[in-house]
Amino acid sequence: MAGEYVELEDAPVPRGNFRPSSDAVELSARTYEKLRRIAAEYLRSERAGHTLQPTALLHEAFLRVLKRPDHYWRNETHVIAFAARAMRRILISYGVARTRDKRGGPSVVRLPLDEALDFCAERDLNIAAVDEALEELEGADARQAQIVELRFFAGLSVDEIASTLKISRATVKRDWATAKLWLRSRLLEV
Amino acid sequence: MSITTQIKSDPARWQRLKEILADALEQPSVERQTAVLRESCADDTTLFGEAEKLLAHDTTVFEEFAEFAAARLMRDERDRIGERIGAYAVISELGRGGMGAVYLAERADGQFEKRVAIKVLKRGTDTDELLHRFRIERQILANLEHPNITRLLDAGITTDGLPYFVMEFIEGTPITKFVQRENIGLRGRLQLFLKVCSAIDLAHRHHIIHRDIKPGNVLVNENCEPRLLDFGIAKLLGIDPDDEQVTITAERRLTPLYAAPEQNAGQAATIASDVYSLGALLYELLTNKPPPGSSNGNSLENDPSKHLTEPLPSHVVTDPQTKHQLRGQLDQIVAKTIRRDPAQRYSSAAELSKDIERYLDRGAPRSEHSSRGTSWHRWQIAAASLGAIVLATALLFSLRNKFAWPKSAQTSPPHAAVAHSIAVLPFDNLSEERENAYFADGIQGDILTNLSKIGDLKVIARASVMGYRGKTTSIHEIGKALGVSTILEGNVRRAGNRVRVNVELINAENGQAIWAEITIVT
Repeated sequence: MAGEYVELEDAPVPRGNFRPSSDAVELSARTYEKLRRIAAEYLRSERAGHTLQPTALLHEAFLRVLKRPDHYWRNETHVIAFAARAMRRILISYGVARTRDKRGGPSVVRLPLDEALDFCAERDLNIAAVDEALEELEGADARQAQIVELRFFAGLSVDEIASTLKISRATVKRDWATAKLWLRSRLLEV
Repeated sequence: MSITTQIKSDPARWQRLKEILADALEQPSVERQTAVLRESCADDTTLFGEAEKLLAHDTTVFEEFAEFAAARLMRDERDRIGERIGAYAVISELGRGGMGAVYLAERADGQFEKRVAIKVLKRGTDTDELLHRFRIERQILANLEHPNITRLLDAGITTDGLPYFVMEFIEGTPITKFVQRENIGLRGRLQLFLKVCSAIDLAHRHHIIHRDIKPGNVLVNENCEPRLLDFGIAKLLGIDPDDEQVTITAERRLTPLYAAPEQNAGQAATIASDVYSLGALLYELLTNKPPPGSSNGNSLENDPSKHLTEPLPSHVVTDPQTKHQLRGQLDQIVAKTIRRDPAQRYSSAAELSKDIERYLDRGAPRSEHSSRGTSWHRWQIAAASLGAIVLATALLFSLRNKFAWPKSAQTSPPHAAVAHSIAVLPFDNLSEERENAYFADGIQGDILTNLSKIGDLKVIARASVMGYRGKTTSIHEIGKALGVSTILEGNVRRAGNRVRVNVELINAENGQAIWAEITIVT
C-alpha cells in the first residue's frame, strides 16, 4: 500500500489568514487545555489488562471536544491529522498572543504550551519560522510535511506515525530524518 | 540560489536529494556516508555539494522538540504521584532524564515495606518489542548478582501504554559528584572505581554489556558503596545498535562523552566499548574534569588519527600534587582505557583493575602471595581498625578536653587554638621501600575521614598539613600556625607482610603526648 497521508486541503482548519473564532474549533489555550485534560484523564483511568493505544486515545479525546458527528470523520487517520493541525495552530496563535500580552507580566497559569514556547526560545528555535518552513515543505513533499507535523504537534512516535499513515516504519524514518535536514537548512537561511 | 529555494521551485530535485540523504544517513560511519554520497551523485558535483552540506546539519533540536511534544504537549506526563504502576504505588518523583522519569514507589498491597525506583520511559519506544526483549533478557539479568549491581526487579507497561522498569531503590550520589563533595583522595577514588570494575567484569563474564556507563549510572551511598544502575536496559531499549534497529536515535540516546567512538559511530557495543566508558569515568574521577569525549558533535570531521587520550589526566589538573600523582602510571592506565582502537584497550575490566591494583600496591612483588588478595586486604583491615581506635580515643579525648582543660580555653589569646581541634600530620614512612609511602598516606587519610565525623571537633584539612611532610618544624609551631590544640602524628613501617603503625596524640601547647598506640598487622 502506498500509504494514505491526508490531504489537509480539505481538513476543516482554515489555512492562511486564520482567525481564532472563525471555525468550529476554538483554537485557543482553553481548547488546548481541554484536549489535554481529557487525554490525561484517559491516561489516568485504570483499565487493567488493557493497553490503551495512544492513537485511539487521541481519537476519543478529539471526538469529545469537537463534538463532530461520527460520520464527519472519515477515519482515524483523518482525526489524528486534524488533531496535529489543530495543535499546530493552537501553538502558533498562543505564541503570538503571549508575545502581545508580555507586558501583562507572567501568567499565573503555566500551560505546557508555555513550556513548549520556552523550550523553543531556549534553543533559539523560532516556532513561527518552523510553521512557515513546513508550509513550504508541503509544496515539495506533502507526506514529509505531515510526518513532521504529526511528530511536532501531535507528539506521535515514528511507530505511531507509521501505523496512522499506514506506511512502513522505514519510510517514516527516512522521511523524518531528511525533513529535519531540510528544516535546519531552511531555518538557517532566514 | 539557496538549496531550499531551489527545492521549492523543483520538487523533483528534492525527491532525488531526499533518497540520497536517507541512504547516507543509514550508514554507520561518516566515511561510509560520504562514500554513499559519492556513489549516488556520480559526476553531479553540485548535487554532491548540496547533499554534503545538508548532511552536516545538526538536527538535535528537532528531535528534542518531537520528544517534548510526545511527553508534554499532548500527553501530560508530569504527575504520577499517587498512581499505581504494576504492584506499586508511586510516592514521589526522583528525577527526570533523557529517557523518561524515575519515581519512588512502594508495594501498594503493603505486603512488603520494600521501596523501589520505577523508571517510566518516554513515549516513542516500541513497547511490544521492548517487552518481548525484556522477557528474553530477564533471566540473564536476574542472574546478575553482585553487591555493586542494582537489581532489575520487574518490567511492564503502564495503563497509558508506557514501558517501565522496576529497580531496587538506591539512595546515592553520582560517583563523580560524591568524590568531590566528600573530598575523597586519589586512593579512595581508585578503590571506589575498582568496585565498579569488579561489577562490570562480573557482567561481562555473563556476556552482559552495560552499554551506558556514566556517572549518573554509578551511585555511591553513605557507606561509600558504589552501585551500578540500568544494567542491560540500554540493550532492552534497542538503543544498542547491534540489532537491526540502527537508528540515529541510538546515537542520540547514548551519552556521547562516555560512549566509545565506535558506539557513537553506530556500531555494536562490546566489552571493549564498556572498557572505554570505564576509562572515561576514571578520567573524570581522577581530574574532576569531563573526559575528552569520543564524538565532537561535528561528525564529518571526526579524524580517526586524532588521539582521544589528549589531554592526559595530569595535563588538565592544576594542583601540582595531583598532577604529580597522575603523571606516569595513572596517565598511562587512562590512556590505554580510552584508546580509539578497541583492540588497543584493556581486554577486560579485570585487566584494567589489575593495573590499578598494581599502582595502589606499588612496590610489592607481583607474585601469588603478595597480590591484592593478601597485602591489600590486610591493609584495608589495618586502616579500618586503626581508624576505629582513633575515633574512639578522639571521642574520649574531646570529652575530657571539655572538662579537664577549661582554663586554657578561657585564658587563650584571641588567635589561639580552638579547644576541640586537631591536625593530623602526614605519617612518616619508615619502610625500606620508598614506594610504601602510600600506606602512610592511606592511614592518615582514613584517620582524617573518621575524625571529621565527630561533630564539634575541628579537623584541619589534609591540604593544609601536607606541607609539613618531612619538615622539622616543632609541634608547638605547627599548632600555632594551624590554630589547633592537638596534633596527631605517626609512622608506618612495612616489612614483608607485617605492617606496624605507631600513632601519637600530642598536646600542641606543651608538646606532651596525650595518648599513643602501636598497631601491628600481619
